[in-house]
Amino acid sequence: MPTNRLLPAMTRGVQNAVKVLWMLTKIIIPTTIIVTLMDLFGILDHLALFFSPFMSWFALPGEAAVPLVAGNISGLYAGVGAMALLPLARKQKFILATMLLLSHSLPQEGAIVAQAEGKAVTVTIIRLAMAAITGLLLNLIL
Amino acid sequence: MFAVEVLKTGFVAGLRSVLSIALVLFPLLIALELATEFGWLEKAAEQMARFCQPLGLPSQAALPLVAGLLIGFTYSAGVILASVKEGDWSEWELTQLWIFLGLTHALIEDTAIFAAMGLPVLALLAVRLVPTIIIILGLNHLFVWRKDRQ
Repeated sequence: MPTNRLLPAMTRGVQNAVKVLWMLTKIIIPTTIIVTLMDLFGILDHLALFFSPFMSWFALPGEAAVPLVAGNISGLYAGVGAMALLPLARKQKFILATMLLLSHSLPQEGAIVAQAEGKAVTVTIIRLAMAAITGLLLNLIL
Repeated sequence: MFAVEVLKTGFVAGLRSVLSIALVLFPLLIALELATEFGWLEKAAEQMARFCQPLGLPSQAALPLVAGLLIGFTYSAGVILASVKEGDWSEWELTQLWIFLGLTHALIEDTAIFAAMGLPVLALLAVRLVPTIIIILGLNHLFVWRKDRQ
């Protein structure tokens, strides 16, 4: 590993990390603030009540629909931002993490798939289905 | 005053998430630049080629798979698009590649985000890879079975 290539590469890595981190800060902090406000105005409670029958399939509280929706529509980091405020047990955190890992950033990543001549709709449906099936199975197993 | 308190709670919780992600992001992105600079990606793709056939993927899928699995397809879209456009892919092969990468990608970054919450790394990898491999193998069997019947 020659040093004359090592240092510039590492510098680029640091620069990229700073860039990505700034981008994430702009997503995560507004998301957590929005969720806090939703909580303050009771919107979170309404959503929770509406979604709790479905979320219980995954051992999750109704509020967990917020990180799921944020993660799937916006991105994994928005999901994490919305998750940061919810009081979740370890099993619940793990199931939510699994579902978000399998299915997230659907519009953005779907666009890349389509650009590379992949079937974006098929891929999206499979991701949502696998997230639901795996979440359901983990609830039964864990 | 109450609203200010609430906003502060949201801000602090968000900042805490950002900081725990920063701990992972710096080493990861430095490693990525090194991997690109010194051609480690191509070397890893040579190893990956062995796993392509049992999964029903063509060997030309090795490089897009390695790039997508390690880096994710947002950062490595360039590498993946190039190998998809240059290669000779059947529609089925391309669909299988994208189902695989759609479900499982950016293994280091995505896993690290949730590991930062204290979740076990191996379990986080397993819950992604196992369902992905099952559905890829399942679809592949279905495809072979349908081709045999024609």
